[in-house]
Amino acid sequence: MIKNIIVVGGGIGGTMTANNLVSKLYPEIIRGEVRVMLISNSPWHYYKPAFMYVAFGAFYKDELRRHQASLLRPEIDFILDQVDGFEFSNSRLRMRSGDSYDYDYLVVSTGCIPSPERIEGLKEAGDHFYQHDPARQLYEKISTIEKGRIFIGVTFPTTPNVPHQCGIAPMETTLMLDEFLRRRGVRDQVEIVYTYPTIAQLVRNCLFLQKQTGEVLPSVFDSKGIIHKRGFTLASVDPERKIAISEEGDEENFDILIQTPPIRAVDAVLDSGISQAPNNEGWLPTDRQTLQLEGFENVFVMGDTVDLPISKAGGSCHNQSPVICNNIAGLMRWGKTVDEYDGKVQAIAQMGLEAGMPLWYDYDVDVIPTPATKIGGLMRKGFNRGVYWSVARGLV
Amino acid sequence: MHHPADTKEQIDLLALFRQYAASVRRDRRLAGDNVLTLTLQSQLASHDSVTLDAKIEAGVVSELGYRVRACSLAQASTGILAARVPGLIEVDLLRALKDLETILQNQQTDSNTLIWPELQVFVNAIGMPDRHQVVLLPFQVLQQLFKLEESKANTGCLQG
Repeated sequence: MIKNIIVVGGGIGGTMTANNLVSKLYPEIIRGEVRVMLISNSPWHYYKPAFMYVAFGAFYKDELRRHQASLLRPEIDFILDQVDGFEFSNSRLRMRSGDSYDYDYLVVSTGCIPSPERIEGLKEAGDHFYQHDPARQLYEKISTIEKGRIFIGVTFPTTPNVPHQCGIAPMETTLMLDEFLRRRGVRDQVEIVYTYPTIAQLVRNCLFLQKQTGEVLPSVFDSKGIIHKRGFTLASVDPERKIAISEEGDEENFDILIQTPPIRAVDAVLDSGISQAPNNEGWLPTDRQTLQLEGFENVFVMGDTVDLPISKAGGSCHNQSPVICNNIAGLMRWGKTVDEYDGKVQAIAQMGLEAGMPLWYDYDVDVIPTPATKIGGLMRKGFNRGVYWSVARGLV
Repeated sequence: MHHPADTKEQIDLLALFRQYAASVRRDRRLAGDNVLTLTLQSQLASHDSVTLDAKIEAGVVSELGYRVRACSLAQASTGILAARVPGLIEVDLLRALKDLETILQNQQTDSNTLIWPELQVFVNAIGMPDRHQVVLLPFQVLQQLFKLEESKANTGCLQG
């Protein structure tokens, strides 16, 4: 009997995992014992970190996307459809097209959705760079501002210890913004204020609380004249008065408000009824070592959909994917999981428009920052312009 | 710009705090007939929850398992408990709980008078009164597990 493995989600996690599964299970696949399917609701795969650069006028749309099918090994069945229902108990997916698929093993890599509408006034008056169109809109604003105040904030999920999307991105864009405005010759007339919410002091991904980064980053901001504050948790925005209001009771005026928005899981995950996350955020309860959905041995979760205390970023997927592939192979071949995720995440932080800072951490060790250098910047540019696509293909 | 964590002493306490928090980031569960398990959840919107598994023999915790889905404060307090096992007894737990409550109320910060000097790491939480219930969660779970074990033992005596 052929075993069906279905990967749901055509982002970086799902794409690399489908490819890695074929590599891992190639003997079974060529014997016709295993079939790998990837389901995505988009014919395109987007390099999502590039949206950050779109906000600064870089990356045309065709530079940051590829046809999904072109990134997949030929052994993978690519299905363009959307999952409307996860029936974990029946090992079945209900599709928008009306089809349904039964699986022996499932990988859920459906990402998360920026949801500025969850904070009153934010959708109307705020900007972000986590999707293409909002990033373009932000570019229009920062490329024309002549003077005023740009207020930057971060919203964390309500679920304890679950960080916002890409932990380092707000800091990266703040430094890029500083350099961008200097190049435009208007930096002296534009005040940049970077804030972090009170809750950030309680989660490990608060870079300002981690000892080593806490010693490095404030001085970097100080040296560039970027004002930084803790204790601002955005509660609402008054679009008329252009005022950001905090849970702590402060009010801050802005000409541009760049806010990392609230995030949530996709509808089908929310509707599955499995999540225990507060505030209807929908993160799936994920075994921290095996990456199995708690209570379901044949379902694995990765990327932004997990409730793990690690960054929601491609650098997490890169380390989760081999663990999931090894564990599915272990279950098929020996009836048990054989690998454990250690919480490893790596990234190269963009420190301004040219420099880069390689960094990494895991469950046990906090971020260890390295010096921001041009070499680091070249590594990041190399990743942006080419290496990423090899990672998606499971080659690197 | 001044931050609360700018002094060396506080930064060292932060480092220690993070060490304890990291020590329970991986779940460790116990199974077996002699394992008592209990979960408590905070009343906050974040629904922080702490599950402890304990093997308690003759009033002494010999092994502790945990599943912490809570902020770093509860992770750190769970880590401190876990480091005190094996050998933890109820009297010491209650005294530590009292010390912890005192620290959170900003009434005592001298580590020499604390039953467990490492409780001092929670001076960082004094300014977050909304989160104090989360710090205390693991202590309250274990306190209830001691009571559960005691009632089990009493029932056993009566039946015997």
